[in-house]
Amino acid sequence: MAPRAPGGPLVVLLGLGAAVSLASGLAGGLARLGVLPASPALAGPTALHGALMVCGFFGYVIALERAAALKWRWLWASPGLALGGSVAAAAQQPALAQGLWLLAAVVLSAAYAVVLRRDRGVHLAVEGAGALAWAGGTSAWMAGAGLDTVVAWWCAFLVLTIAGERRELARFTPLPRLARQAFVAVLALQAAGLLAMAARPGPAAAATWWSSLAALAAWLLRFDLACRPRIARPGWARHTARCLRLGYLWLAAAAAWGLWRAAQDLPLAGPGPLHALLLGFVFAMVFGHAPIVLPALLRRSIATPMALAAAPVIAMSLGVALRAAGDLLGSGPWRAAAASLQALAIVGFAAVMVAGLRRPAAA
Amino acid sequence: MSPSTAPDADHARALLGLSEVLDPEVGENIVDLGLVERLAIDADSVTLTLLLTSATCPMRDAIAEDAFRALQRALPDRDVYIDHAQGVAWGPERMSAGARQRLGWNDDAP
Repeated sequence: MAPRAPGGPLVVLLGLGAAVSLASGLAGGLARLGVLPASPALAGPTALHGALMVCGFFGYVIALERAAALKWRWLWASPGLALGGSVAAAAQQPALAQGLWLLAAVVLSAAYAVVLRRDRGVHLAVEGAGALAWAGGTSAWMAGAGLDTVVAWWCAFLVLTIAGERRELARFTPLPRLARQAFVAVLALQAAGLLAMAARPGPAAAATWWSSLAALAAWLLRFDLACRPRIARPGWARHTARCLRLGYLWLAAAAAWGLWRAAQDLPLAGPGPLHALLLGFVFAMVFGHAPIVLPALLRRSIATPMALAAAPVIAMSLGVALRAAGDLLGSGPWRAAAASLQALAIVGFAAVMVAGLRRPAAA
Repeated sequence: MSPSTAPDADHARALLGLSEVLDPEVGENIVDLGLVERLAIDADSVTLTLLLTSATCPMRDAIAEDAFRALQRALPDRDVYIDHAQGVAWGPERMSAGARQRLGWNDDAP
């Protein structure tokens, strides 16, 4: 029996969902920096820019991937709820958005609980911890916790999801016992940081949390599949490896900057290191994996790797660097220019992917 | 039975076809990665049981579809069925010696 490919209308619907969430989040960010003029239509996205990006876009995409992989009908509620949250946020209904996003996170966490009952694996536990962090951060937000706490937990959702996926792939290459233990230690430090941010947010908690990210960056740069030498990387695998290595460097830079800010007793949720983390690291993962995951999800082939695909990746890194400079210098125009460059990078990369995807393969 | 229809020849043809199905990030084929749990071939059909390295991998259907097409090309006179192994865990010991060597495992070291 042939594995079933998703139908055309469903694919369009799923893609629209991601596009709606991403567009709302990006528009809100651009409006905050004055790149887009303030307007009533952008009030919701502007106020909830961060939440839209983390819960609305990334939450939607991650839940969608899991639903597609596990094929449990009830799990499709998670991306559906995440998308509903985005719509509510754009419509300036933050309380509704919070509730929908929390439910999305709870459903995703439940899925991991079911998976872990039958499949044991460090990587699955780490990804599941990420889903719990999404739920935890959203709960904290609903309970009126400080921004630093919410942001740390939301970032942990993304970082742990990525860390779990990379740990899974790291099994294909030799991992010394010390490396396996070090990975667990990094996660323990992240957990300690998150608990500290929840119980007693402050410079010590922030330093603990950022330290775990620095340690994770070091682990990935040493042991991740993308960083191993002398491995053949056919097709898009070379693009993927380059993006991931670049992303790990941004993770290290973000962590170093975050630690410096913690030492100055500055808030964790300051824009500088967070944007380096989310745009430099997380989006590098997106740009690296999209040419592999999109064809798999959409059941289409993709053109052979194009040099053009590197342009938005480089543009994003330039934008992150420009944004960092703008944040350090307190320059509004530099921040605005960086935001425009980053938005163009995202749109440009999406265009490259759309152009590269081929028609569905004949049955 | 002529050599061209011998079961061993069909099995070899099927495996050769499956060796063209790659994991797109690892760059190795699913046979060398040890993802072929079982390959059953009879006069009318071929059934492949695939082992995935992670339950949450979004590539599972794409890999299964690529394997389906590869088996159709290799054994065009058989019905092809794909299913997924249950209760079996993947480990790096399932990889072929060649894949392990290419991925940095030093199996010859004392």
